Amino acid sequence: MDTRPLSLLHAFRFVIAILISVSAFSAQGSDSQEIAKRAEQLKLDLIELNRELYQFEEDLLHPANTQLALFLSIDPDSNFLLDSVELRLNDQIITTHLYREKELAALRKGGVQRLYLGSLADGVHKLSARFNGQGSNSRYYRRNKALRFTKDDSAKFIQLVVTENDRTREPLFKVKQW
Amino acid sequence: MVGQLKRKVSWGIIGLLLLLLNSGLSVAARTMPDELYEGWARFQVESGRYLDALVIMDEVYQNDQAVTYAAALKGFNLAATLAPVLEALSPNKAELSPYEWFTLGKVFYHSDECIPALKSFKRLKNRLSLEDKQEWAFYRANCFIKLGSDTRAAQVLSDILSGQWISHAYYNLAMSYAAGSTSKTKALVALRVASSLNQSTTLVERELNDRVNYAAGSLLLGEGQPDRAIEFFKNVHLDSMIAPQALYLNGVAQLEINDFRSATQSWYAVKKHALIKQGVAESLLAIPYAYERGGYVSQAIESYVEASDYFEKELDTIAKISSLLPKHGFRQVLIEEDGLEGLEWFLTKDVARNTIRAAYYTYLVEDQEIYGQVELMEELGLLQDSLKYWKTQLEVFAKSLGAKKKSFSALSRGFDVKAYQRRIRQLTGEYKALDVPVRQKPGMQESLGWQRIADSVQSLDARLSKLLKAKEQGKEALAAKLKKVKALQDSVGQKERALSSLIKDVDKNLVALSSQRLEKLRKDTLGHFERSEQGLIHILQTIAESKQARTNRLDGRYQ
Repeated sequence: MDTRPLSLLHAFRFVIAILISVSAFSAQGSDSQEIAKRAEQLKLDLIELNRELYQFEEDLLHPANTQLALFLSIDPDSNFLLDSVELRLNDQIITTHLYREKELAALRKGGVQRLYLGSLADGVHKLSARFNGQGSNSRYYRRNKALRFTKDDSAKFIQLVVTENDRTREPLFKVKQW
Repeated sequence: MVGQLKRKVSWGIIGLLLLLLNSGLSVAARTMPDELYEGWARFQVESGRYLDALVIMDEVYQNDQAVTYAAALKGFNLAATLAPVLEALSPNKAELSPYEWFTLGKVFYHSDECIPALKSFKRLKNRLSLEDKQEWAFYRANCFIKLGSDTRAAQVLSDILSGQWISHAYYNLAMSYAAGSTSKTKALVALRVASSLNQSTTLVERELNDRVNYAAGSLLLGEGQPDRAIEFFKNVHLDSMIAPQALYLNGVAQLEINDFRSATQSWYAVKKHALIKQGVAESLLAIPYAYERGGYVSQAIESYVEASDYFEKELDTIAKISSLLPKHGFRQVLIEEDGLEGLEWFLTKDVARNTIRAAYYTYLVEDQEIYGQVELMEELGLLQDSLKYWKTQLEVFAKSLGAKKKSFSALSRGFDVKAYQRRIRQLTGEYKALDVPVRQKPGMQESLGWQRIADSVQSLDARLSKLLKAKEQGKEALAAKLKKVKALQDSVGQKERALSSLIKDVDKNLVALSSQRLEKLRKDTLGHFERSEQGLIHILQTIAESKQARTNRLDGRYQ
């Protein structure tokens, strides 16, 4: 009787097991297929319902005439590694955000983050943003950017843009009012 | 005078009524500038928030930005909806930006459609930064590997020799070489390149490096070079996912070069891992085998007894999970907080309470069908969370609108139109009386801001008319909003029930699939147990039949 458990074939079994990164998905059983069909329809219904609910909430809480939306984007050529941002409206903190690697990559790929959505009365207001992060020269930066703006009876959109000085490679923070 | 005028025209009620008038019920057209809106949707997709992305993508967006829409559909696993979108985006038909070609290629790749993926990637040639080029080469090389052309994959990678993407690609190429050829030289060369490109600084990089070392060691062991294999196995970190397999094979290699002591040390180190992990059961059986081969019969007997004990306990655990799964469901047994009666076995052995559970969970999701169903469960969980959020929000809205409706009725009743008309007439008269003297005195208009006062007075009539209109429409608007809230609450309730039912069915399916896999595991473990028992019998039989003097034994405890 052979009790030897150590066939070298084991080695190859493991090698095959680690081929997962290029392996194709196995076929699904009939129950899983049936569930997948139902799930797809329900997901679509729920996406539609969520869309309707968001729209309703926006109309109710932030109607166009009082709406203020603040966005942030990063110039794709900028090497500034944004760690966090803090926004103040009329000297009150309205939002802060700590960035994950994936979010920074999304911003570099042309993504625009909506940082804040709220309601604001007509008139002159002060927005200030504090940016923390690391520049391409490995220096750590904490910069403030302030803006006075006038809110009228239409929705106000303000975009904060992180960019970089071509010559000094120092980060620059710009504001764009739409 | 100015202050008095300002006070008189600032009526609190106007704010409330105008707000109501302005917040229409219909789904508003997109008010956001296109550039912001499109960037916002792209941000959600690229951050992996596919549900949020799909919620904000309206029909116009879905048509205009079909590639980003396709990426969101793929990310949220909406395969049937994605198919016609991809069909319309066939690489021969579309005119797209470099970002879109790249994204489209990745969507095709992840949908297992390598030919259109390669066609999409081809449109990007010479239009990419170095960093993007590495990712681009990774996907192209993987496509060629999937299509069975390792040579083309190697050509793709040959001119880009930097970055993590390329390191992963070389590893995949090595695995493909190893699986497809009897000569392992090419695979070993590819692994060497993968290793040289890997900085091994982040966790992902370190794990890849461990896998590279493990694969190289395995290949060399298969080639009959255990001494070289050991050098690679030694480099695998002990906290790596692949550590039990590496330790086991390291033991095999040590035994091949007759270093029995190092072999058993390596296998002893595997024992602290969960038995369900690959390499652990093999190590438990290898220890007594090595002892027996080294002539240490009593240790061999002890080790076989110990191994049998491990396997028996594991069989109990498998039986316990198998019986609990149909009773409590997959989610409760393997994902949610423990505390179920009969699950105490999770708490034993380890300081980290979920070690065994995590090992079983990992073992089960290695099956692609189970993985797919668990992924679906996660997505449905996200949707369930969103419905819970909306349920609370709608309750708040309903209460707030109900209170607003009440206060609105009270304010409307107390709103004396005639009194306001009288006051406007009076203010207009006062303004007119002052207008001539103010204009006659040089500099006074400016110092009083007279023009602004004039504008305010002139707008009073218009504002009052607007207010009256709002008063008439306000009550209806509030009633309509409340009706809408009720309708949305009904929809949320209905979808919540449908979702719960589907989640239950997914869980049932997971229980069925897991039970099949656990049954296979039970058979394997039973096989290991039997081998252990047979090994023990074999030794005892040999001892019984032995004609040698007992003193020849190296250890006398069992004589």
